Amino acid sequence: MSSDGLNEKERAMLEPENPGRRKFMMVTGATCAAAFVAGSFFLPGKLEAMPDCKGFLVVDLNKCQGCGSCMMACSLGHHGATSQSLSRIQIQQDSFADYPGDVFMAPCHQCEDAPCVQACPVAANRPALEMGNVRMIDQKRCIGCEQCIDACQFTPSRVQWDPKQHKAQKCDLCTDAPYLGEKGGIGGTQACVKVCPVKAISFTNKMPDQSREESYQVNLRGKGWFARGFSKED
Amino acid sequence: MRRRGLLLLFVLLAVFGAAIGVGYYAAQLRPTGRGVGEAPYLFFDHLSWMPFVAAFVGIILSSMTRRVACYIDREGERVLRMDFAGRLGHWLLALPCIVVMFSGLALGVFFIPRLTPDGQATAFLFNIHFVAVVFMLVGFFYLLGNWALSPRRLSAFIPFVGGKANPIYEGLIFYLHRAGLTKRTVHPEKFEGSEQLAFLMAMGCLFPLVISGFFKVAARFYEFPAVLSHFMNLTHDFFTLLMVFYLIMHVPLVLMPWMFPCFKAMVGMGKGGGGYVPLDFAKRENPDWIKHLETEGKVK
Repeated sequence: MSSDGLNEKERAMLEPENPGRRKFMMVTGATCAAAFVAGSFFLPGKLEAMPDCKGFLVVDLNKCQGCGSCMMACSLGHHGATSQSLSRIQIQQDSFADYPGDVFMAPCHQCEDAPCVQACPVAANRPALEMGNVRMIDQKRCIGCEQCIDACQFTPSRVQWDPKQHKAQKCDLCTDAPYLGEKGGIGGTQACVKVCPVKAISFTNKMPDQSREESYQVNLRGKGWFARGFSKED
Repeated sequence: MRRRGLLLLFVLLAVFGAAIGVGYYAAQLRPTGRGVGEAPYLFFDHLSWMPFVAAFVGIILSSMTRRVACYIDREGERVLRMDFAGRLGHWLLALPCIVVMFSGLALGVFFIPRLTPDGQATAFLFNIHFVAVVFMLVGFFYLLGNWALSPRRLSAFIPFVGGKANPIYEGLIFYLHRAGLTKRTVHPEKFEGSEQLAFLMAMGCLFPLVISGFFKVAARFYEFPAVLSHFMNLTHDFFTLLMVFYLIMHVPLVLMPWMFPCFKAMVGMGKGGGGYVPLDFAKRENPDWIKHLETEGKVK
């Protein structure tokens, strides 16, 4: 057995070398590998300045009855399917809690410095500049890594997993809601706002205070509320 | 030679295991400085250059490899079917490929749901996928490099060229004969028709998988048109499933009695281990190949 691990017969059967091609492959391979390693230091960074979104959903938890109409409308408008799992607005109910803590509505905040946008490795989740900077997930780009879901700082995460397409989805204010039947997005209709029977969801152009989650919970109580004998503070 | 092979296998497995361990640790990390609720550390994001470099490492390794031609060892009554470089390339591609496929399937493909409970587990699975991809790419490009240096070896795999028998007919007769349904038989070269077709299928899956995979990694630092990204995602998913079907066919077939000596040679087991198959087996299964080796004087 020789130092290269071959026996005598195998050594005799070694194929002729092709020094020119070997050298070419060695030099080219090493150069390209070095170029890729060096090039990685010059890769573009993440989006640095994120323009503010021009539309937000705010909710009144006192008014919300937890009927789930908004979830169904969201699923229908975006997917053409009635599935709470496909809804981008979430309602949580706690049967044992007292009113108004028994129902919690969780719309996307369209954050000023959205962590979900920053976390996306393939720029699928980003502000739609032509559509009021809504933080939207381009389903064609999404690779389903779930980093945006994990990055959302709120509970429940305002970015959801679409189990059918294996991709992330989030509220886009109905900007891309093919089954909505009318213009959505900023300046258009939002399915959840439209169908809520008690008008517990509203659209606003004014950015809520980003430092407090509660700033998205507003008082939307009006005539209908008063007609039932409740006061504005109830 | 066998001791060296085992040592190399041990080292590769140790490196692979260590990388998976780092991947698990990395999936728990929460890099600071990019805002609240940051995502775990994904190798695909932070080491996205590595799969590209792995490809070139494979090519560099192949440029340093010397190949031993197939020959008949009369004294030992055996035939060298696959030299060390050939076996190394095969396993360096095949074993990580299995991990790549299963981690990919667990991440969700078409109708197969994602099998992870949360984002952290997904990140860990992505890191496993990454480590296996890097190893697999070294193996894949090592094979490509070897074929570039020795095109004659590649031609042995490719059907329909060089006046070879129709691989479909050859494969059909081969298996019908095995099943006892016909007395007709074939005299295959080193690789019989169905093996050549299987090679075509493997490469037909691997090339789109590798290209779309590179594209998916590149999409992390370069912005491609959304339609192209979508197409590449679909391509990656589709050929993953096709590759699974290939694997389902390939693994049981190489364990069949008429292929088992070849399998033993590939894993370095038994008398004919280390790439050798028994001479009487080769004469029976690949008579034309043995004739060619004798004609070319590759007998020691």
